[in-house]
This record gives sequence, C-alpha cells and structure tokens, in this order.
Amino acid sequence: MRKVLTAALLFSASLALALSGEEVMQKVDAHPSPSSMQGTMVMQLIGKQGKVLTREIQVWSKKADGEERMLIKFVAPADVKGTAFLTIKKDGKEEMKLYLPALKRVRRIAGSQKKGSFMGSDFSYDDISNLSGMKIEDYTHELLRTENQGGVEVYVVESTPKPGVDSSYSKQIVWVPADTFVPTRIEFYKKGKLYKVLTNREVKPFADGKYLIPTLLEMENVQSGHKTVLEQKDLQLDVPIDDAVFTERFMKKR
Amino acid sequence: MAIRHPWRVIGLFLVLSAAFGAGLRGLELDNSPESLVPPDLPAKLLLDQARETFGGGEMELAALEGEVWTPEALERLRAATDAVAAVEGVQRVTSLANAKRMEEDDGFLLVEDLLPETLGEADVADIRAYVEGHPLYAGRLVSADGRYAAVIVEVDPAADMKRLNREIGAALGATWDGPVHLAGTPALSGYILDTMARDIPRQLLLAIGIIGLVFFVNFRSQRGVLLPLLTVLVALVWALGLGGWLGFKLGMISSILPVVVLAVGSSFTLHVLNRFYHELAAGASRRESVLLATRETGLGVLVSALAAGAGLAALFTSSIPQIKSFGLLAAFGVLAAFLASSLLVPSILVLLKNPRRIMDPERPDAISRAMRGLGGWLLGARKGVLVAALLFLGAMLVFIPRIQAETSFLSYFPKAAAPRQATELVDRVFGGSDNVILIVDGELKDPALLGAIYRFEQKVQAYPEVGSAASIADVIRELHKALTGAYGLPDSREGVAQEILLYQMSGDPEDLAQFMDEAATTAQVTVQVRSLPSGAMQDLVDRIQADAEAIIGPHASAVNTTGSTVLMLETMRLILHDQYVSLGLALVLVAFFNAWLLRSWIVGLVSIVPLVLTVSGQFGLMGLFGIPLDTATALIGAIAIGVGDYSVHIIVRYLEELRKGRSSAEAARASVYVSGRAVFFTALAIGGGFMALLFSGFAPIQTFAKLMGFTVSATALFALTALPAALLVYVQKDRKQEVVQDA
Repeated sequence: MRKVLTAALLFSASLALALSGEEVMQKVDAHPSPSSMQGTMVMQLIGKQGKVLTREIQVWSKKADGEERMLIKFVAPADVKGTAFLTIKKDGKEEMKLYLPALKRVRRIAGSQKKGSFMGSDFSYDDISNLSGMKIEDYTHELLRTENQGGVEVYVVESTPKPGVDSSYSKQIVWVPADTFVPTRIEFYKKGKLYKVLTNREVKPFADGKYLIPTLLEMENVQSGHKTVLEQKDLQLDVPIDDAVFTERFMKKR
Repeated sequence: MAIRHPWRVIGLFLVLSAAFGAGLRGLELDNSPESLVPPDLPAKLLLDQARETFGGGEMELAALEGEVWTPEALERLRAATDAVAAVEGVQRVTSLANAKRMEEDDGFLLVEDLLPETLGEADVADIRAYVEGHPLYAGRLVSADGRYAAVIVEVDPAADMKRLNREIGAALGATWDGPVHLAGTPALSGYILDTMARDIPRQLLLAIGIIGLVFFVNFRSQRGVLLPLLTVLVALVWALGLGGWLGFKLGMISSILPVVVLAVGSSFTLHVLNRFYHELAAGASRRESVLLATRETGLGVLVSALAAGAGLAALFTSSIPQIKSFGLLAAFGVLAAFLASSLLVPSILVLLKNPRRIMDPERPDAISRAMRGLGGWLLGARKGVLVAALLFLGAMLVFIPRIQAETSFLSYFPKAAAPRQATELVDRVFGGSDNVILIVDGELKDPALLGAIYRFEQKVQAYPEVGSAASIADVIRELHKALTGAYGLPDSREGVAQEILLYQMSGDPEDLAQFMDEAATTAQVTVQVRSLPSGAMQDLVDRIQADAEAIIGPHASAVNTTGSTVLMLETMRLILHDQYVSLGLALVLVAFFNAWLLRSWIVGLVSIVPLVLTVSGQFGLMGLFGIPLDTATALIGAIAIGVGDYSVHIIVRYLEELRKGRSSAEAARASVYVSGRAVFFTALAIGGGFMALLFSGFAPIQTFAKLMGFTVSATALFALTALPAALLVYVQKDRKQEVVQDA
C-alpha cells in the first residue's frame, strides 16, 4: 500500500514538474551567451573508412551594438595556414571576406553561406551559429517523451520550423537533460530523413558556472558516413577583443 | 527397382520434386553487371574501391526533351531533380537544378546555387549565359541547342535496377511535361529484366509446343507426348528449384536455362520410349519391353546424359558468375531428366495399361527408308566421307581466328528498343552515355599533377568518341577564374590547398568528394564516352590508357583505368579464355565417359568426331559471317557438346550389333537404320526446342538460337555420316564381349 502511495506521489510530482516542449526550449534559450569568445578549434574530419584529417583554427567572435563579428584563421595544416575568413552580421545582412595567403588578396564573398559547410566540416555555418541556441521563436516545439539517463531526466523535444521560416532542416529532435538544460544530442532531419546527428560529448562551465559551453562536439553525417569531431580549446569568454581584429589588415597578418 | 516398386519410385520423385519445387519461390531475376563480372577482377576491385571513395554507382542518364531555357522548364527541372533524389537507392543526382555557380561579380566572389529560389525571364537569360561559358555544364547538363536537359542519376549498384528504373522514370514523368529518355545501366537492366520476365514463360511454352509436336509425329500417341514432357517438367523443377535454394539468380544468359534443360532432357525419354514401343510392337510383354528399354537403351541414355552433364558442368570453370551458375544448374537439370527418364518413366509405363493401338516407332517409313539408303551409301563412301570431314574441319579452322568478341550492353537490344534509342540520343546530344574512369594516385595539391590531368583531358576530349572529361583540375580552374578572373591553376601547393579549402567551405564538401578524396591523394577523372561496339571501345580505352600513362604518369604515383565499360571489356577477355578451357575440358570429359562406359579408348575418341566437327563448324561460321562472340554465343560450344552427344546411340547400337556377331558393315547399316530415326527425331525435338529462343527480345540469344539450329543439324548430320564412317574404319569389332549393361 505504501509503495502504491509513493508511486502515486512520485507520479503526481513528475506531472507537476513536467514541462511542455516550448518551456524546455525556453529554458535552453535562457542560458546567457557571452559577449565575446576567443579560442582554438581543433577539427578532426573522419572519413567513412576512418581516415582522419586534422584542421586547427583560431576563432575570435564579438557581439556588440547589434553587430556580430567573427574572424577565423587557419593554423594547420601548413598548406592552408593563414587563410582567414571574416563574417560581419548586421541588421540581418551578412558581409563575408576571405583571405587566401597564396593569392595575397582579400576577396569579398557574396551569396548565402549559412547552409554551406563550416570550414569543410560536417557542421554548417547554421549549425555553428546555433550552438549557442537556435532561434526558438522560429520553431514549434513538442515534447515527445522524457527519458531517464543515469538518474537524470532528459526531455526529448521535436522542433519543427514554422511555415515561412527558411531552415536547413525539416525538423530537429533535441535531447535536453533537466539538470543543465544544455542539449546533449540533436538529430537533424532533411526531407523527413535523418541526416546528421550532433553529440555534445563534454559541456564545461565557464565564468564560475555562468556559462555552460559544449567543448567537445561530434557531428556525424548519417547519410555519407563522414563525421567531424570538434574540440574547443583555450576558450576565453567575455574578454575584450580589439575591433582591429575584425579588419582586412588583421586578416593578412601572419 | 522401377519395375518391382513403381509406386515407391513415383512417391520418391513426388517428394523430391516438392522439396526442390519449394526453392522456386526463392528464384529471382537479376542481370546486374555484378552477375556478369567476376568478383575478383582487378578492374572490378578498383571500381568498387573508387565507388567507396568517390561515392556514386551505376549511372542512369535521363534526357528531358523540351525547351530548357524558360523559367517554367527550369522550375520543372528542379522539381524533377528533387523527385529523383528522393527515390530509394539513388545516391547522387546532378542537373542544372543543383549545380553551383561561382564567379567574379562586381568585385565579389559569388558562390551560390545556379538556380536562384525564384526564377524570372532575366534570371534565365543570365543563367544561360553563365552555363554556355562553362565547360563543366555546357553540353553536359544541357544540350548545345537548349532542347534537352540532362539529369545524371547515380544509383546503388546493389539496388533492384528494375524498380529503380521504374521509379526514376515515374518521378521524372510526373514532374517534367515533355518526353523523358532514359539511358544507362539501370535503364538497360530494367529493360533486360522486363524482357526476361516476358520471354522466359513464352519461350518455355513455345519450346514445349514444338517438342510436343515432334514427339507426337514420332509416337502418334498422347503418352508419347506427355511422358517426355513430364520428364522435363521434373528436370525443370529440380534445376530451377535448386537454383532458388542456392540463391542463384537468372540473368540474360541463364534465361535460356529452361529451354536447354527442356530440349536436352526430352531426348532421353524419346530414346527410352522408342525402344519400349518397338519391343511392344515386336510382341514382347510390357515388363520385358520396359526392361529392354531401360537396360539396352538405358546405356546410351546414361552415356549421353553424362556427356551432356559434363559439357554443361564444364561451364562451371568459367569466371563469370552467371555462366557458372548456368552451367551448374543446366548440368543438374540434365541429370534430373536422366533420372526421371530412366526411373520415373519406366515406373509409369509398368503401371499404365498397354495402349490400344501400338505403333512401332522404328517402323519402316520414309525416314527409315532414307536411313537405310544412307547406311548403304556410307559403306562405299566411308573414306570419302572422312576426307570430306577433314577438309571441312580444315576450312573451318581457317575462319576461327577471325571471330570478334562483343560485350557492348547495347548490342543485346533490337534497334527499336527504348533504352537503345535513348542511349543513342544521349550519345548524340550529351556526348556520351558511358564513361571510362581514371583513378590517379598522387600529390593532388601539386600544380604539376593537376596541370597534367588537365592536359590529359584536353587530349582525350579531342577524340570524336569522347564527350567531355571532368576532374578536380576543372573545378580548381573554375574556382581560380572566379578568384582571379582568368582560367588557370595556382602556381604553388599552398595555392591549390587554399582554393580547395575555399571550395569545401563554399558548398557541400560532398560536391568535391566525387572528384577527390579528402586527403587529396586520390582523384577520379571521368571521361564521358559514347556507347561503342567492343572492338572500337577497346581501341578507345587503349588510347585513353596510353595518354594517361604518357601525360599524367610522370607526375603521379599510379594511374589506373576502370569503369563499367572497362569491366565488360575485361570480362570479354575472360569469356574468350574460358571458352577454350571449358570446351577442351568438355571434349575430354565426353571422350572419357564414352571410353569408360563403352570400354574402349578408340571408341571414346571416335565418339567425339561429330562434336569436334560441329564445334569447329560453329566457330568457323561465326568467323566467316562475322557473328560476334558475346556472352550468349560464348556458351554455344559447351552446349553443343551437351546436346550433341546423341550420336552415342549410334555407337551403342553399332557395338550391340557387333556383339551379336554381325560384320562391321552390317552393324553400321543397322545402327544408321535403327538409331538414325531416333537421332533424326531427337535432333528435331532439340533443334525445335531451341527455335523457341528465336523469339527472344535479345539479339545475342536470337543469334544463339540460329547457331543452335546449325549445331543440332550438324551434329545429327555428322553423327549419321562421319561417325559411322569413322566407326567402320577404326572400330572393326567390339573389344569387350560384355558392355556395361546397367544404366
């Protein structure tokens, strides 16, 4: 009898605690994001047959005055060292510049890159910019179920783009643990078919726990069998970054 | 056994037939290139590896007919491309609708989809101008006159080609409003499978009809028609059922299996029944007649069944999977027909009442009189006949080296067949429906290697048989133009690496994967070629290989050629080589069985005289009339040996007469007179059965049927002339008093 009571109590408690899909994603979105970031990314591109190629890039990003700026510079491999890529987003407009040291010229790039591959990896630009959270208002979120993973309750939410929203994916299924509200796994679907799977292998607290940042991520393209493991190293958050970093001069500097 | 326990025998056959028959459900049709190409062929391994590295598979080329340069048409092309991409088993789709555009535009490097999301008239004119200036697209994805758009579909080679072809056709038909022409392997395979599904039952019924008619003319009774047909039915169920159990699939070549089993198998019962009715007519009891038919004639049937089985089983040495399984199943079918005719038929004969009217099939009639005349003439002309046979052999040997091999898939089809016409259309408007693939291993970031690949492409594109060539070098040249305003290649390794990186960043890295592996150590150069007959194709492939060696070779660590065309050419070489092995083996086996069962080496050697003459006749005629040796006609030698050994009945009768103390002249006369009639009708039944293949939808099988017509008549002719002549000259008396009696 007592067991039944306990079970009933637990059940009603879980009902009381249960969140809707929208609420889960709001909690995910509520994480503060840093105003600037600086660090190194090591990307391992892993082919279907297991061949590994490593790329290392340095990243600077800054959000200020309604402007998002990001500079990427290749460190390795040697033959692309110094290649730089600058993105400035303002008022929904995107300006991109590319510097190829072999040509010694900065080129402006037109055309949308957001669905394109990020540095030749399995991440798209969209995926990278959504790492700090997708634009939740563009999607409808439905709680599919909850799972228990090692004692932690995990919400499984399906996010479908609202009509008229230009999304790379037809839907995403997001696994959100109730203790951190930092997604651990996202399945990306294209035309209803599973396309890619993102796994956050490691989430680290920064600034005394103010930020929770995934530092070891794996994106697998299920259709091609190719995957990318991305490690964020030497991360510094909310550090002042000189505006001179986001210029052509800095791009050309070795 | 059959006489004492007929019901047990019948029961046993029922059980076995049910067991084998259950396998029929597992029997499938398949004519994928996989079933024709030996799995361990080096070019095949290379192609598999290339497909693993660069993606892609068998190529289907769709030509969409209609004015391409309108906003509506491009929208439909986009819908068509999406629809095809959604088909299960499609790995990659390439068309104008998903092509990339990369250019210098007002100081910007523009990297975007060729087709913007919304299309107006002005956009179309702009796209057209861009495409016409870019060799990667012009003439490849759209015809020069703008009347045809290409959709290049790469499909999983292991997928069901028939379903794929149907679904791709349906997807295109639903989205494009003009005619759609489908060429390439899935289209051809789909057509082959449809044709097979239609031809097999039709040919089988026709063969049954013809053979039944021949049997009716011979026996003038229902039993004389039904019993042989029952035998072959058993044989067919066993052979095809075994195929199902073993997971074999019937392809274009093996689709002739039912007819082969039918034609060869029916002859066994013909001999058994002939003797049975003959004895019955001569006044013997039913049991005695059955006994004589199975014992005396049974020996001949056993020898010819073993020979036929050996000839067909020799095909098992072939390296071509489809020919291998055909050989095994056909040999098994022949064995089953033998068992049925020497066990099942006698059991039924024992149980059945005597027919009301008994007609001696060896009765004197026009045919018997002709045979009697022939026998008499032979006695005087034996030397002359042998000399004539030698002259024939010599003449034919002269023509054999002229035989040409042919493996072009296209040659299978009648000129009016849709996929053949589509292929010719694609050859005409897009410069080729086939391709030769070059795998280049080396340091691909080295501008010298890229330059060499580009020079190679220029060289081969000048050949009239080549449409276009595509490689990483073209992509980098295109990119370099967009970056710098001029076509060219970067002058340093770093420059190449950075431009490749830019390309990877600007789109789907998979776009590049079809040209080069991620580590930039292996590249795939695709040379688009027209469909050509094997000889011309071999010549072209040789030139391409030589150019690659000369131009790319010095800068690369390895250059290899592959592609489905190259596979078919290499397969052909194997077929030719296998041909001699299996023919030689089959002749040796037949001579051995005949010698062993008839207890004389001389007899064994003499017994293959008609076969040697027939086979050399076949190949001589092919050389003389320019009939190509292809996947179907390559079987002809081994099958000739399989079906042609009915001449053994002449030998068995000849020896039987000698044993009775007759002179060789009398024995020869008697054997030609008595067995000649059976040989004549067997030839008619077998030849008639093969004539059903004349109605095949495949040109090589029609040719095969015609050649079988020659083969069957020639074997009969040689069995009734050269064979008795040789017997008269070389076998004067039966060495052994006792011939093995037990069948």
